[in-house]
Amino acid sequence: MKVSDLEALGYTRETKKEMEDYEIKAGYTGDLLSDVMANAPSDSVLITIQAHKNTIAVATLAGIRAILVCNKRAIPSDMIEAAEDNDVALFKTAETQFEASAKVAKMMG
Amino acid sequence: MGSVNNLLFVNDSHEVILESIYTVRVKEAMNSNPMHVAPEDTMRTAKNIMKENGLSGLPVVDGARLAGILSLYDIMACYDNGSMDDKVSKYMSRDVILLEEDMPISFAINYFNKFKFRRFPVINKNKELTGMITARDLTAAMLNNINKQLQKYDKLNMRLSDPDPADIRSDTVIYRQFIVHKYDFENAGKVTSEIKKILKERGIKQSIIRRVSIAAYELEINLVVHSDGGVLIFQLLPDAIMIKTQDKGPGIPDLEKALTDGFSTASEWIRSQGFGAGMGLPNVKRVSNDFQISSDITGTEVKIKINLGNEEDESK
Ligand SMILES: Nc1ncnc2c1ncn2[C@@H]1O[C@H](COP(=O)(O)OP(=O)(O)OP(=O)(O)O)[C@@H](O)[C@H]1O
Ligand SMILES: [Mg+2]
Repeated sequence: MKVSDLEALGYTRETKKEMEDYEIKAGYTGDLLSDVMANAPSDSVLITIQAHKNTIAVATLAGIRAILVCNKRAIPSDMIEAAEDNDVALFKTAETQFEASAKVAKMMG
Repeated sequence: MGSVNNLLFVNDSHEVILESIYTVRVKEAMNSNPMHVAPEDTMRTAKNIMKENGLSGLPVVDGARLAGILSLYDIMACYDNGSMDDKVSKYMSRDVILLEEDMPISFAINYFNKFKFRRFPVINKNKELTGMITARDLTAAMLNNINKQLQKYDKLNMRLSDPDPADIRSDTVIYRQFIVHKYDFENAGKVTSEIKKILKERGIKQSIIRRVSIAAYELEINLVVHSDGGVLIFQLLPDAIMIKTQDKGPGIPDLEKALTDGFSTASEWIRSQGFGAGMGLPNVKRVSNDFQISSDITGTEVKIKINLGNEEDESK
């Protein structure tokens, strides 16, 4: 799937900057940054409730292309800024991590 | 100041002097409770005070307010065409150039350059006279502050000393040192980004870059979260990458525990930021071909090596 397919699943895009529509090859669900750092595959989407700037740093280092923040967590503006600066697409949803992971996994096939 | 600085050595005197110019306030450099006269005092009184105290200028205070300043020239003018029984108010100059006590001394330095006066009255927010300042007071305060700063830097340098010659191999390709500050979450991860960039530019294999990123990131974050600040040293060798962190304390009481999966002393707040799973050090160890850690109350040192190129080293 592509990053833009997350919008097709009904998730709201928070980053407004024009970015390349990368291919997403995998997904990872987690909130512990050292776990994400160690185990998230590259070219992936991260499904998390960790809505702050440090998540972007980890995503950038791990080659994560998109982040989906679940449970309606409020996304601070410095997180959006950091995401735009580092070309990480940021989405939000009211769904739980379980629901979102199931949907994304299904789309990936 | 961001945390991604190459550690150019800190007794860079320029920086220290600049810092003192902007951080020391006039209040700290001035001479408080200066001698003064009232406008109704006689010129004789003023002359005697100046003579006895070796002053070339005397502030004139009305109540608590600064009313003017009397200089040696005013005393001479009085000798020439007046009487020493005249009142100070007749001779003093009312256009006084003054400094406020909360200004940084950079202002005072500027005044001494701009005006020919040798001393300036200092007032507080209520325009009351609180001190006098001379060029000599300024120099003394700056030297004092520079001294304090150097002592601070010396302490830091002792710990974060020049690279240990034993650490730098003669075949080192790239050597970089980065300062990491305590609780600098704003910049957390930037040192690792920098390292990742260097490796990418060098065409290092993706799988190696990933392992180096994990190790560097976890060590960098540990400096931010758990240490009182320190340095991260990165070295690219022809056959390996070495990373070393050195910090100023507080040390790890039980190393075995710290290396256990899931052990963390991170506070509630730090955990809410996604740190503190207790997986950092175990992950560093896992991705490294060589891992050494030592710690006492003066600080912690972690040294790791990741070999380049060899496929079987990549198996976790
Ligand atoms: N530089 C350091 N100075 C002092 N204590 C440290 C330092 N590095 C690690 N520690 C101690 O070792 C413990 C384990 O570190 P580790 O990196 O494995 O986990 P963590 O930092 O607590 O959580 P995580 O890395 O998963 O976010 C820390 O909780 C802390 O008590
Ligand atoms: Mg850690």
